[in-house]
Amino acid sequence: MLFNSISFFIFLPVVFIFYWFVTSKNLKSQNLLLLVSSYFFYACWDWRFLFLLVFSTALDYFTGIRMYEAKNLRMKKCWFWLSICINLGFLGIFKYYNFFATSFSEALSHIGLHTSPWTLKVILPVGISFYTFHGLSYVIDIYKNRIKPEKNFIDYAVFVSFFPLLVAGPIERATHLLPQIKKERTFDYARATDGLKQILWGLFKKIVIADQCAVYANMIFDNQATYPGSVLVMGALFFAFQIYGDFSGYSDIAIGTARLFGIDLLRNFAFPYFSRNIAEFWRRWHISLSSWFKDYLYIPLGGSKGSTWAKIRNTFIIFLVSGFWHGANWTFIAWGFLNALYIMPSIIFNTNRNSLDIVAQGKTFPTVKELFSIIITFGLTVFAWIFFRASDISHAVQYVSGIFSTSLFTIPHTGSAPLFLFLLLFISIEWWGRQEQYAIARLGIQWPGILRWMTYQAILVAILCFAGSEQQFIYFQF
Amino acid sequence: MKKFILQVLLFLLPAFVIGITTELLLRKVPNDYAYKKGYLDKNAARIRVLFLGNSHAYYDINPEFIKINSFNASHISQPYNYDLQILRKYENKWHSLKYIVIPADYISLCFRLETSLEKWRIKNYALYYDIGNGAGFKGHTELLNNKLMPNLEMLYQFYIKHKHNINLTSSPLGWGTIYNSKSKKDLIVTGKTASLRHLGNDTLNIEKNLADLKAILAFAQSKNIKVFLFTPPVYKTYLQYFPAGLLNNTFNRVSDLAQFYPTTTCISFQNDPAFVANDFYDADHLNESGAEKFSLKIDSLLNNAETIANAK
Repeated sequence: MLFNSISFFIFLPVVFIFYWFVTSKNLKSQNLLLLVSSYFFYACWDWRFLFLLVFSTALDYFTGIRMYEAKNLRMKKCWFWLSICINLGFLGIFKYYNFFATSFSEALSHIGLHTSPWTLKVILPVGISFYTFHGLSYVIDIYKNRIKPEKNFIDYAVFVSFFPLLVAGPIERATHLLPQIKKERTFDYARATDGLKQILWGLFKKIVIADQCAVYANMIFDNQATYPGSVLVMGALFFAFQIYGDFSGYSDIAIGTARLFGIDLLRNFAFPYFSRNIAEFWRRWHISLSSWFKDYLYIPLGGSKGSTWAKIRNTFIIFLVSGFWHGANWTFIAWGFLNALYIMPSIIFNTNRNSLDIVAQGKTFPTVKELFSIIITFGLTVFAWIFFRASDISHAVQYVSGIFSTSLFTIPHTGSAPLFLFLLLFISIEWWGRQEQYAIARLGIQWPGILRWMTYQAILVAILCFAGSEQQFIYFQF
Repeated sequence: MKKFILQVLLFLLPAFVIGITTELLLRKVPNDYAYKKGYLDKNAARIRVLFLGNSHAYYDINPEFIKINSFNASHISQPYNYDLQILRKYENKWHSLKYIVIPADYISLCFRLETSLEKWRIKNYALYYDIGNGAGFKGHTELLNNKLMPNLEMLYQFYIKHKHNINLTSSPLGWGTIYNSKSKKDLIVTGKTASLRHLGNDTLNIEKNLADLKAILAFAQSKNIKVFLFTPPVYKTYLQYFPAGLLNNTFNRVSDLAQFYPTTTCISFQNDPAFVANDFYDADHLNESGAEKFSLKIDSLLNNAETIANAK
């Protein structure tokens, strides 16, 4: 069930009405409803993987309790590693087994040993990377005595499986989400309307921006050899906006949907394309994953403490792991490696905590220096996206070679001028709302009601005009 | 809470009203599917030759060149399961039906609407043919199967510009008219694109399609209807990019099945030298002159069968 599908827009009001009208007087029944509807939502993808989700939830629930009740450190460690190994084992089998098997076989063939790898014909369970990371953070936090285990299985299962975040995040923390699940929730009109506005903007980003950019990005990337360098640059630009519109749009819909149920999810995007350097970009892009890696990998490795070499090593590790988290393909690892390279100067010169504020805060336009920094950062990001989008490394190399040719200076003809106008409008709205949680949070807040209403209607009309194809979200495959 | 729900409903009301109006107006625009159903409703009892299948029948066979009373009920990307449903829908009306002519090519065996990018066509059968089993809610709407802009464009052309044939592409006897020599495509380019497009279909569909074909053959045999399974003519550039083994395998699978049905005949026009570059619209479809040539060949085939039947 996609967020941009008709079935979701039937499912959501049904759950909403039951939640606030039937179960609102009893927190237990409210949480039970959330769990049942979340499992139904997940089963709509493939009911067989529901067993995997339930098993993974039960595993972390019981090991969490066992760790907490363990008489000695040895037992605690046993339970901890049991959970970690099984969680990562599932992820490894479903997501990475075929990659390792074929890569190993290819490596052997380079030394003259030809083998046919034994690969698994399994499909990747939707959201496995996300709910596995939910569970891992919970287990690690209990092991490190940061939290106590949740005793109520229903509450814990809602934490793992809450349908807005189940398939593509944001990756939540027990410390943030569990207290909200355990607390009585009352309907808040302002919060609910704000949630709806965020859903509306998320749909706009997905359907109007991402899906339209996808048409051109796919056409250019899939036929890269037939296009001049200037068109290839446009293809990379389109993909940059596609992936941003797609994933941040998804996150907006997820966060907005959760708000309808009185639950606040972690922010996942904070206008990353207005970043002035790569470190700032990574504080603003897929925030819940970046902070997960920071807290559960970077800091345990030593973080930014220690020698410069240790910091460089740690930075490379988290970016390579982050790339690999996205999928079993060398292209994602190359993408992670490139980003690690980009961020190196700020690690070495200790400037990675610069630009913590919002760009041009309180001003209408950025300074020339800020604008220059934004363009350079965006350019580097777009270049890295080529590796992320390419089907394999040789495709990426061919694409980049195609850009850096004399044809780079030809006038591109792709018939995408109307889309560029839409992108300009989109960038303007995002710039205007960059100090908010999402771009239209305060759009028209001081306008007359009718004008504000017409603005939202215009966004709805734009969504309806471009809707109709139910494009899959990119991050569902991760 | 009530205020919230009321405001949401009020906000969505214009979109609902426009949506429902658009849906109703779209359904009133004449289209091939509604036309073919209307024709079959009226004339099924007197049709003697029925052409079914995908675009290789739709564009390649013009019933005007068939001497026996015939109708082309095929359409673009119409798979065997829909052919079967059409046959069953008029089961009690085929009083005169003696021959069914249906393509048996690679795409016929590998293609299913449900799993393809063309699944939006399912609504045409559900809405206009009343054979929408399993089409679901989406499969019963026009609006949810196309983007709004092309739909509005169609309404504009039909209701404002009064272009009444805007969504009609077939002749009175059901032949697809738009693949003509004036708009001919590059045969080298389309040879590659068509073969790659066809190869992109899921081979897991083969068994399902063979089962549906088997049901068609059984249906025909039970009513003593003769079936001609034909492999359509294609231009040489199509064959250059298509593994010969796959094409042969397709033909063999169909032939193996057909041998259990004495009323069925398989015939291949794939390498027929009679079809030259000027007969093709693109590498795997004929233009109007190619369709005439091919239809005359089918006509001759039917006449021979008729002569044999009369002699008995």
